Amino acid sequence: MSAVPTEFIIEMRGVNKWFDDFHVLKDITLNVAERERIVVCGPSGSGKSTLIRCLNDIEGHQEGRITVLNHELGADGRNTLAIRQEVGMVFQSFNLFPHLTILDNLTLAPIWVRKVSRKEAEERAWTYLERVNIAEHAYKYPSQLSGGQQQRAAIARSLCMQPRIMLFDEPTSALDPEMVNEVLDVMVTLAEGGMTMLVVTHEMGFARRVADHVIFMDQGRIVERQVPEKFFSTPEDARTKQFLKQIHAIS
Amino acid sequence: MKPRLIRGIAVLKENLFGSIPNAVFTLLLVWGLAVVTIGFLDWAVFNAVWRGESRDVAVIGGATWAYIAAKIRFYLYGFYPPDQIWRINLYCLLILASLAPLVLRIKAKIWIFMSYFLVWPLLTVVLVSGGIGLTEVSSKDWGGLSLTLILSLLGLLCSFPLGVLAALGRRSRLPVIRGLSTAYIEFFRGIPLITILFMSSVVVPFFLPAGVTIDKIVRVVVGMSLFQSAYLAEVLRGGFQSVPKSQFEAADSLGMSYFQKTALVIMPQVLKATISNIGGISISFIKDTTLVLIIGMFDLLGMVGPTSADTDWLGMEPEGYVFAGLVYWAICFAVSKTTAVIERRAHALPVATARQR
Repeated sequence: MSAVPTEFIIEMRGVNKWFDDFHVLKDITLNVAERERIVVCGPSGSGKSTLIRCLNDIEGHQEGRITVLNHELGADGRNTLAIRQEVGMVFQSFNLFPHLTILDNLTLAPIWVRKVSRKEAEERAWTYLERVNIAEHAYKYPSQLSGGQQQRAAIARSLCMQPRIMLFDEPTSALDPEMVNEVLDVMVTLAEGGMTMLVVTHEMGFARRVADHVIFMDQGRIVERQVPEKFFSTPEDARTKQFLKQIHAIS
Repeated sequence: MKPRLIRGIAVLKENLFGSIPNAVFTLLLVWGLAVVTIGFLDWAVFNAVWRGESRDVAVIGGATWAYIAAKIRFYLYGFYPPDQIWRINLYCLLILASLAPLVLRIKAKIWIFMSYFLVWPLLTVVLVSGGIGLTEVSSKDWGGLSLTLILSLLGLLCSFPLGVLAALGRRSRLPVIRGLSTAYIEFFRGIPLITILFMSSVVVPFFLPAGVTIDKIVRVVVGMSLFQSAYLAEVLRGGFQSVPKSQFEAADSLGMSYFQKTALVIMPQVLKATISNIGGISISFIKDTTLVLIIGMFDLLGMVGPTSADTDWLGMEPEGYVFAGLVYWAICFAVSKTTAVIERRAHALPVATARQR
């Protein structure tokens, strides 16, 4: 992959990160082009969540360069805020604001951060609420919704900021099995709409269906990056094979 | 209903008369309670004297409530000039009216709360203190229940922003701010309120440049607010710790600044979690205002002394203390109930809500 820098909207160059003595990310180099959909997988503790959390500077890195949308992260606090507005993030545990209704959850950041008028923010919110199919719950509080509904609301909340990149940190791991698909469906639709996405997930069916590339991580390193067909049929690295074998043994 | 009653009696019988020592203790306690209650009621109600012009009406073994009736003006308004008392009444009315929007179900409560910082001191200066269009009344003459209310309300109000700042400062990533906030909190929590009151009434004037005077009541309110804010900061700190880290991350991921994150996402959750504790320390604070007696201010409790020194009403201290105690109890009970209502509302979720746009 030859690199003309402006071609990619995410660039990581030799990124290293430590939690105290623990070396979580080792020499990570990763390029993501606009509209590219990437699924990151790997055993737990391999650093995949940390990797995408570095991309909006929720986790800082100690070495290397991370450039998102042509802004370097970590260099200037202002860059961080500007980038976070353009990079949406969906968490494993939804993290909706419990003291606000779903509608207010969706309009809060657009009104205060993007400085959109309340009327416009609400219109935008209704559009996304309908798109993720929870418009009838707009005036409820997060605790009154099921996990799947909360996660769809959380996706809508991110989308209301109209981000250019969406990061998903194990979005279906905390859900009951029957709710996984309703969330994945929303993500598939989003992918088909051309959103640039980085998704940490164990949902291999999702990877097969929408990913342009699958990245496999182990012990803080990117071991392999492949197109899905090749990744699942003829993986190169022994660790990838081992991982896929374990995943298949379960499902 | 009936089986429940029978079971209730059985439970009582089991717990109160289950064994011989148990029964003895129960009987002793009931007897003790009865003696105290009957004795108090005899004194306070049955043998009490309600009307009279001086202590001559008093009877042995009965309270002389006539004394309270005769001195009620002092208990409520201190030494405020009688012809100016309407100002205090109007003041209290306006303060209560300004509190009303908080209990109503309206939005933008934060702006109403902010407006108190302007409105309350202004009302206090214009109405109670006077000088602008109204006769000036020296703060030396303020007293009684109205002084208690002024100290409590202004003290609690001013302690709020200070406490929030100190709590935020203590969580700061900047070592200097964190250190200063911690020092502030620990300093004011570490010294007794009496010391602060003495400092503000006796020592502070020495350090003021010549010709500059700050009214004693201002110094006392500031001193008490500093004291209270340290406790508030610690209560809020507990609240901050109860907000999960993921909430901070969610706010961050939406591009919110520190101020937006704190004011819009974190603080509302912190306040919700700490309502009952804030109510608790507020009640303590209201009761602590009685300490101003030490520095020569005559609040509700302080009025017992001068009014019972009147030769017509010598020896009426017990009536005075019981009366003051009842009034404090009523105030604190009201605050406690209000806190409970606010808390219940804050935690209530809307019922049925399939409301469409």
